[in-house]
Amino acid sequence: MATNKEQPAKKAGSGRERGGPEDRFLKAFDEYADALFRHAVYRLSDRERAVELVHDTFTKAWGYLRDGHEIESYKSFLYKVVNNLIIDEYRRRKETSLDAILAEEGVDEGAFSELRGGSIEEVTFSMDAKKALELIGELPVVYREVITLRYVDGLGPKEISELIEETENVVSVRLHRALRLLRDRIELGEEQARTRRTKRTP
Amino acid sequence: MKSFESDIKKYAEKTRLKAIEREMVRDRILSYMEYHPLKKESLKVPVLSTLQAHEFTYIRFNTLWIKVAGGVFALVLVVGVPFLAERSVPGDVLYLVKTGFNEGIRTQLASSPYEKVQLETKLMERRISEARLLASEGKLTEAVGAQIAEDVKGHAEAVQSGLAELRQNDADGAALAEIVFNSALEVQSAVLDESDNTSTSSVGSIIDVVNTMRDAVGSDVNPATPSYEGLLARIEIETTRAYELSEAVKKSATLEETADIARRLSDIDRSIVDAKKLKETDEAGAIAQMSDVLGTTQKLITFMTDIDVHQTVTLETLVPVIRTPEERIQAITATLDAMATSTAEVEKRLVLLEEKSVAEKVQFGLDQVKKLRVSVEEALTAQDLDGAESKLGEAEALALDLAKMTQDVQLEPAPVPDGENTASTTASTTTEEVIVPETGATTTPVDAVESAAD
Repeated sequence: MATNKEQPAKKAGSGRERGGPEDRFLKAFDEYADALFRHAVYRLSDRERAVELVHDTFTKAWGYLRDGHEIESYKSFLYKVVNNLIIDEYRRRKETSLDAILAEEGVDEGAFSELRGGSIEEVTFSMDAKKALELIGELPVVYREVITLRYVDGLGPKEISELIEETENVVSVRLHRALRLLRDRIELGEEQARTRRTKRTP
Repeated sequence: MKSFESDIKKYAEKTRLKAIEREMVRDRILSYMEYHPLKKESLKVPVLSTLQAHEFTYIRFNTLWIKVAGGVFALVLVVGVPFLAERSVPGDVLYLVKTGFNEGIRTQLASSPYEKVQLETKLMERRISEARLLASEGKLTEAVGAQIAEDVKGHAEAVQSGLAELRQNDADGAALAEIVFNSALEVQSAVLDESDNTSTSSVGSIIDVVNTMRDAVGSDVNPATPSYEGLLARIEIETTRAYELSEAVKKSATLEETADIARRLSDIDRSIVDAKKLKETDEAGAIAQMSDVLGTTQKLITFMTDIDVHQTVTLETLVPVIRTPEERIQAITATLDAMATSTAEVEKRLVLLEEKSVAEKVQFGLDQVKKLRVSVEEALTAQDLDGAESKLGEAEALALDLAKMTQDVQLEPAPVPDGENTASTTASTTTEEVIVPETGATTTPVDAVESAAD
């Protein structure tokens, strides 16, 4: 009388049991490795480091399994791990706390009143998506986080709020601000480009 | 918004691991997994996650071998064990299955009160059969014997109870069932008596129970009387069964046994014909005769079907032969002939009797025998076989008494021809004739020859 929870653990990569924890783990790698890599790239703006974070994310997940836990939803679990690793990375880089980062970057969590400046649809209307993607790395960390999770990773506000452990309101405010910042940056860039072209023109 | 969202996602998806990077990371992770394998016990720790759900735990039962093993187990349980239990006796492991399960099912299947009475009768016979088997092997202890006696009593009481219930709704059925029960008691009583003489263990306690039941049945002041038609119908059923059984036992029985059974069947048929004739003048007598026929048929069936009964008692003990009229006349005639020889011998000794009073008694007896003989012959002429046999019985008894009264009288020796003394030695030793010498002393034929030689 054996349950599927009790399949004997076999040597990984050789003779894995179909449907066993090793098998499901490697399937999760095949499915989410690119998404995690993409997330890390846009958050860190460092491709080499993003590759390392993908590796670290999966080794941490494996360690979690070895501790006797089960991972029911690999997607949310892996995003949580990679998000924590990215925060760690920020801390190492800045040698300071996330709160300090937020304070340094002048991010004010604000309130819903922030949204009166136009809905997300209005903000993103006619926004150049390619340019917005290129400018994500220039956003403050907390805005980079929600923009990446929302538009690069395609997560909904609720999923994001659970992942970063904030309310959906906070997530929405951050997204709104992040998009306005992006639009401002895009507009600023376009303005600068026009200025340069004007200077070149006699 | 949708356009921005889909566009940004489309551009973002172009960012992905190169194949070589992906392969490298995968290999490193696999290597890590190999050097850090999962622990068996760790797999049982529950998950702590708000997003996860409990996984189903299911048991695999639908494998072929489990089905086959289950089927075999069920077959053994349902068919094998009850089958094996049928041969068990008290003290065996499966005996409780036999009495509790097998016989319980049979009791449940008995639909009518008549069938229930029949079944309880059969179960009583089985208990007695088990006791006899154990007794024949010397395994019938006092405790087991008491237990079986109790069981026999229980079944017999169940029969009585069933009969009482049956009488209220089906008096005819009750009477028929009672006949069957009585015949079963008679068979078992005969078999137990025989077993008690031959077995190393005593079945006395069971004999007591059976005899008590027989006495109870015999002391019934208002015995149930079946209807003639009911009896006839039941006899028709039972005799048909008896004929079928007789055909079946022909394969294993000896010629003598087959002839014996055929004879009893013939007797039963003849009795039925006689009873039918009797009904025209005496219905009560016909019913009584038919009841006997039913009982006899039941005994014959038991003899043919119960191997223990068959091996313990003779058929003649259970079902004596019923002679035909011809056989009865022949027997009467033979007895008359033998009686004539006997009385002639008495007449010879009568003349030698010295005591007058004794001689007068013998003469009177001879006259009575002659009168009885005349009565027998008259009854034979009138086809009154019962009357003839009755008178013959009286004459036979009287003739026997006369023979005893004159047996001490010595007849004169027969003259022995010269030269034949030696030659007649062998013949003399084979005759029971008593030679009386001149001295009056009784001598054997050998003594007489020796005396003559001197």
